[in-house]
Amino acid sequence: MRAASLAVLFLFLFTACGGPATEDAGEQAAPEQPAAESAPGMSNQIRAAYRSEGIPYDPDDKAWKEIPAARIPLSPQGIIPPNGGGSVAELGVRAAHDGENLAILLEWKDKNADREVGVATFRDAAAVGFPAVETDMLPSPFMGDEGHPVNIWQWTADFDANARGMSGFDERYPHTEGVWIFPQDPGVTRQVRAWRGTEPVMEFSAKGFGTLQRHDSQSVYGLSQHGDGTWRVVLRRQLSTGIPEDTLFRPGSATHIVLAVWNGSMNEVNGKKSLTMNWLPFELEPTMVAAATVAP
Amino acid sequence: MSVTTAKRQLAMVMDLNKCLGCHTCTIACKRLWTREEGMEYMWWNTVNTQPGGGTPRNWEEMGGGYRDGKVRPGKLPSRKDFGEAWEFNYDEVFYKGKGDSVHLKVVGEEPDWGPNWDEDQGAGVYPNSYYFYLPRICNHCTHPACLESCPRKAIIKREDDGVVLIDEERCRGYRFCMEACPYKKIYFNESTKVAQKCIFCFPRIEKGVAPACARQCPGRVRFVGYLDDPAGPIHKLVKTWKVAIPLHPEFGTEPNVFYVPPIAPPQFDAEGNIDETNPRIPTEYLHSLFGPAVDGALETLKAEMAKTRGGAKSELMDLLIAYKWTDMFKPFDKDPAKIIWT
Repeated sequence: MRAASLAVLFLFLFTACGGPATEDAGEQAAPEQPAAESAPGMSNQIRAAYRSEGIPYDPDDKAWKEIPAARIPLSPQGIIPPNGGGSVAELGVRAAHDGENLAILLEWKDKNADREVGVATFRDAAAVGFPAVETDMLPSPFMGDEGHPVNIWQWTADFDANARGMSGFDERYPHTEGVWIFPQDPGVTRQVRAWRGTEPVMEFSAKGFGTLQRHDSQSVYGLSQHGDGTWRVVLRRQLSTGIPEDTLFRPGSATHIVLAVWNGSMNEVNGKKSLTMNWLPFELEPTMVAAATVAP
Repeated sequence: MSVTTAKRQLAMVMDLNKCLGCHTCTIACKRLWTREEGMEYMWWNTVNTQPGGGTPRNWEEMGGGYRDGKVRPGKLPSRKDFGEAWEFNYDEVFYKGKGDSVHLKVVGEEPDWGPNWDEDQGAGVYPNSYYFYLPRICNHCTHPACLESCPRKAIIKREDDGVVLIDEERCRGYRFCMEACPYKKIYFNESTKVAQKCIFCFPRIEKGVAPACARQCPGRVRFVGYLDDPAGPIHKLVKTWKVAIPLHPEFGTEPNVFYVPPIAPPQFDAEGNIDETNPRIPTEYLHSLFGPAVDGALETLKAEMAKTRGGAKSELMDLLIAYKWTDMFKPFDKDPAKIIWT
């Protein structure tokens, strides 16, 4: 109990001071810690609520309202060029799990929904990052480091538009292959790479700047809504995928999370982003507490 | 500033006195490399009329390159800057029986720029108006600003020949390279979401075949070879004779495409007499393109031309005339039709 209290104290100091995330406070985080965020909008604690009846997926699902929101301040990225960001000051985060799946709702203000990646246009995007594996040291909060990879889920508005058939891109820029393909040509031989995602979320690993590596196996799903100048994006994944590069989430324990948002209207891409400068504790409520209340 | 790791450097020399603006180079490249989806608007090789806006529009004013040894991001050209392809109402005119009443016109939005929009406009006032053609490809720079600006390290400079390539597997389409390239010779593929550019026909080079733009050129404008090969034409024109000079050396990237500057005819004076002291292409304009090295290059060219007029032989003139066209590419003078391509 004493150890647990210390862990809670450490967790409090850690988040209150916003100090460098050099130690893992995750595993010891007390599952019985009282929910501090009874009033949404007052907390920067991110906690995935346990819902035995299943987790909301649609951003419009009313169930999200029952889950407290953490308000996470974001900063411009000024550590390594290309620097930028800062146009999104705060990110609302809600999370829920049902013992099998985890869903995270990200909400942020952005007047324009930038859904296209053209020659000189950029898309809106948001990403969450987790330590990919549990080690004594937390990875660098900035894309991880050698030996401490991070697992990144990035939602992008252009993939989202493609996935939902919302992209008017092809209509406005029709392909005119007839102009260039001559009758005697055998046809296009090289394959067009599948950068257009069928899902709006891409899963990556990184171990330092410039090391982003797309996973061969993609496990994260996403749904989004844009309205009233706000993006609301849900990312969903199984707690455990069995893939070594994917972070394993366990109910009743804690890991850490970093967050980032890109504003397409501001030409934000890569390091030009608004982000959290440190790891934030990310807890998953235990299943058994809630399970006990419904068990006969 | 990045230091090249290339042991040798492939280079190209383009003789602007011979370019007739036929665009065979452009089409040779287009047919070979940029026919896929998302590449419709790409012209890895362009030929523009100088003075002019060029491709993309006003690229010379977009910035990029190096200043004080650091990469300076410039403007990211838009699709409109590059110039979009447009369609004509062929159907209506040719197949709907309205050939007498309907004229050919653009379908959709009227374009106000294209990849060769200001062709043959040039500058100056009659009878002293002037223009010349400027063919351009990626310069495969010794200090590629694109390479240095890529946070993904998706751009490489090949050690054996200095060819600069974008690794499309690594590229994430951030387009910092497009901002950094002062020559604005990188395109963005909106279908595959990666940056693409001239590859110096490296699969041909590897088989001893010159790039398509050079080999297809009916004007014998383009020389290809290693910069350090004393037996090759490039070394002779760039290093020995110093008549081939880089475009916009002030950008700081050390391009490896070199130009033999255009020798202009003299102006007419107010009375209609030939004024030998004033070339039709203003020297200041050539300075703005090639820097002060253009003076020495033009002087040498004129001196060698005078020599041949006097009946003497000039190694330089013989080289530029290119009596045997395959000599322009040695050792990349193999016939692509006789190569087994795998």
